[in-house]
Amino acid sequence: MPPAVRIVTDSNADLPAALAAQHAIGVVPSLLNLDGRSYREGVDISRTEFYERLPTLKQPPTSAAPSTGDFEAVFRACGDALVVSINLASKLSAVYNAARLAAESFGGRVTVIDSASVSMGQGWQVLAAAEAATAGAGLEAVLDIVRSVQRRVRLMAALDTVEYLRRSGRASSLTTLMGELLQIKPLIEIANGEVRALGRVRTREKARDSLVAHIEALGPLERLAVVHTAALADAQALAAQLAPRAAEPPVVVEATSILAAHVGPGTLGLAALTAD
Amino acid sequence: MTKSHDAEAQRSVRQIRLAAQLPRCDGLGLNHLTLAALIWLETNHKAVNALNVFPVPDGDTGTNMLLTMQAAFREIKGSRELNVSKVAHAIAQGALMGARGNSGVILSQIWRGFARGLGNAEAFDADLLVHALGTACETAYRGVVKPVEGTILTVIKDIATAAEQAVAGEPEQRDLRQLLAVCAKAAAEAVARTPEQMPLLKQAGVVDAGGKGLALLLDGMLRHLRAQPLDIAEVAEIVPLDLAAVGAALDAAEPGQEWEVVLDFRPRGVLHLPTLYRRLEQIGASIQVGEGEGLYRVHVHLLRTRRHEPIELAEELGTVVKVHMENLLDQMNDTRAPAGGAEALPLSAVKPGQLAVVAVSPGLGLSRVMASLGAAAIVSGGQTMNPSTQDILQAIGDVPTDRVIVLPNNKNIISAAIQAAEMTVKQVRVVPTRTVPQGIAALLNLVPDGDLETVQACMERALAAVQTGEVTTSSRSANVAGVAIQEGQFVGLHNTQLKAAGDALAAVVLALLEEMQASQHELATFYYGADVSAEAATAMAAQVRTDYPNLTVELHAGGQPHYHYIFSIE
Repeated sequence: MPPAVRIVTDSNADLPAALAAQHAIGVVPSLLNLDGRSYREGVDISRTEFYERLPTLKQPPTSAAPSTGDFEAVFRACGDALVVSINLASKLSAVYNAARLAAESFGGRVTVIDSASVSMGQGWQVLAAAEAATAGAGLEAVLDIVRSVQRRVRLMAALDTVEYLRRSGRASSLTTLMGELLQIKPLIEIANGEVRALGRVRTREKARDSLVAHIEALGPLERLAVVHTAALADAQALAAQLAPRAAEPPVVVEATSILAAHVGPGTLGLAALTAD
Repeated sequence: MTKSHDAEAQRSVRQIRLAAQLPRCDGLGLNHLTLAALIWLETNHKAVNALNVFPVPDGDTGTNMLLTMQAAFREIKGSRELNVSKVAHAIAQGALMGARGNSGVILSQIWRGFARGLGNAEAFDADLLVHALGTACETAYRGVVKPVEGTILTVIKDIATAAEQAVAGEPEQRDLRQLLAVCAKAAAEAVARTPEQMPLLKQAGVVDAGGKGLALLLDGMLRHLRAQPLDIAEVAEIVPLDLAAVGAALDAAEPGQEWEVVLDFRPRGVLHLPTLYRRLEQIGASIQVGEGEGLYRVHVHLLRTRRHEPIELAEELGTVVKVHMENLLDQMNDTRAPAGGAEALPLSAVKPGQLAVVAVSPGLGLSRVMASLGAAAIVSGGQTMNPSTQDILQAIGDVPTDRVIVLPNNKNIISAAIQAAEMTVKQVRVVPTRTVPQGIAALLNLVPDGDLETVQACMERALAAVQTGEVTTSSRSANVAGVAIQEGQFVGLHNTQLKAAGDALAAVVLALLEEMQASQHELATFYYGADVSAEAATAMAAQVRTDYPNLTVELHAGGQPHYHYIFSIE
């Protein structure tokens, strides 16, 4: 018997494809604009292709939310099941609004949730919901679990440079503090859908140390994802270092190209789900 | 410097009557003693400056103590107050506000303790003097976190002990002149012993400068009571133009004083000084001429367009040995609060309730970096121009919030910062940054809406993670920690410790980088000084990049005087 509740998200959740397939999660791709052409994230362009093209781009890459139609198509594909769509923070993007408008055509059968997060901060909410749905949970139980995870998830990142974030226009309050020095690596947190400064350091080593210190301050963890943009070796090392702190082995995730376009290569992020 | 004490006071010092016995001292007496101490220190302060352990331009102790005493005396100048405790409290307040450098701060604590010890007495006799010296000593020790012997502290302790023993040993001994002689003798002996207590002093072949300064103050008082002259220095020497002089000149800078030129030249044949003065007066203002061993030093303020004329004049008269030029207007911009002009610093606009950082900066470029990282106020000062407690206090007072963190950014300014923190009703924390790179590392941890203690703790943790290199020119020949240094050589300091010396600037920078194990770090940030050209600095940075391919090298114009390079490794 298929689950009574189906889970939908957008590509910004950074959910590894295998996990999405395993739980039959519908993923609506965001759009990546490179020098005037639009690509569906993860469909028309891979991360590897993106990084290969990044240095040769004439204009900085930009992103666009999927259309309401894109969401409608995925919702429709869920058949008669109730749908929970967990989307990128509404304060950061128009993705949530596109999903909300799409849901209006389904007469209450689709519940759209603002994850107030991004990447695996959003992804852990999606996965917990999908696991519950797979286990046969009803709509209210699934929504309870999403709310619980949303309350317990923390997403932070160490950026290699502030340049991409500044260009993205997503953190105006942050960039004013970056100053005249060229080598400044901001530490940021996404909380309640907003980017906020956690600190500033000047070397990658201190950035890692600082991330570790922030994670250690959270206490025991249920789950942990190490998200990176073209920094696999560093991410794996960080995952190994932090493994003892989480109940499950940490997941290493390469962020989507769109996220990479906003934070730049060399970023290390941590999406931690605290035990309570 | 300030030879501007009014003539009446000078005369009163000289016309002291030699009474057979001096059993009591009232407010006017203390006023005169203080002036005598100040004049004697002024006469001899350059000899105190010469006593620095490291031969680098670094917080000249004599100048700092002199500026502290000048601030102290300003409070009682021209006063006819007879109540000695009122005079002492005024002196203490002035010293407290004007305290500069570590020795200045301790000196201000000595005055504070002395004033407290007098209570509200009308006059003091021998017994009360002994008591007040005791409280002065206690207050001085309490004012230092980790008291170190072989310093000004030991000297005030020996003074207090000698006074106490003199009075206890001879109960009939009630003459203040004799008691002061005992104190001055104890001070001199304590100063002479400081190299035995402090190996660094012995190694450098000097006595403790702060202790010497204190001894000079007592000597000055004693000379006054003995009607000996106060304005003839013990050692005559060429007048080194210290930063305090530049600072004083800056305050008085007028139109036409855009640049400062200091040059040394050796005249051919006999120099006719009145002619030299007359010709310099045609070129500029604030003229000073010093002489030593056939070498003449000329100091003049002039228009930018005329800044080469003193060189031409000196070349006409002889051989130019050394030239130093400084753009005073640029320094003024640095010193004065930004007035909204194009040169205004991008200081952080702090809102009430937020955390504000008050940072001390020795150069315009460094001020810009600090401001861009969130400093709300910059106090100008550094290696040789330590800002006073008052300067820091003013900056703390001026920021529109009551939660303030002070970054002294120099080991000689920490005490003045702590003292300023204690004198305000605002919540102030001093993060003891000993160098500019430490200050910048601390500043990175500023969270304007954060908790004061938490941010302070983060900043203090950050200090250990950055290493500081500084390269300057040796102010004298010395042998420090096994490094033999000739006067005029470049010297390199690692975390304020002297580690390298040599004749080539780039070589000293590279030696220092090796000493600091730069190859094991990620990032080097260089701030080049006012006397280094952008081209030279760029070439030096390129050399570092070649030698350390894994090191990211960042270069900024720091604008600091005396220090060719200040850099961080992290």
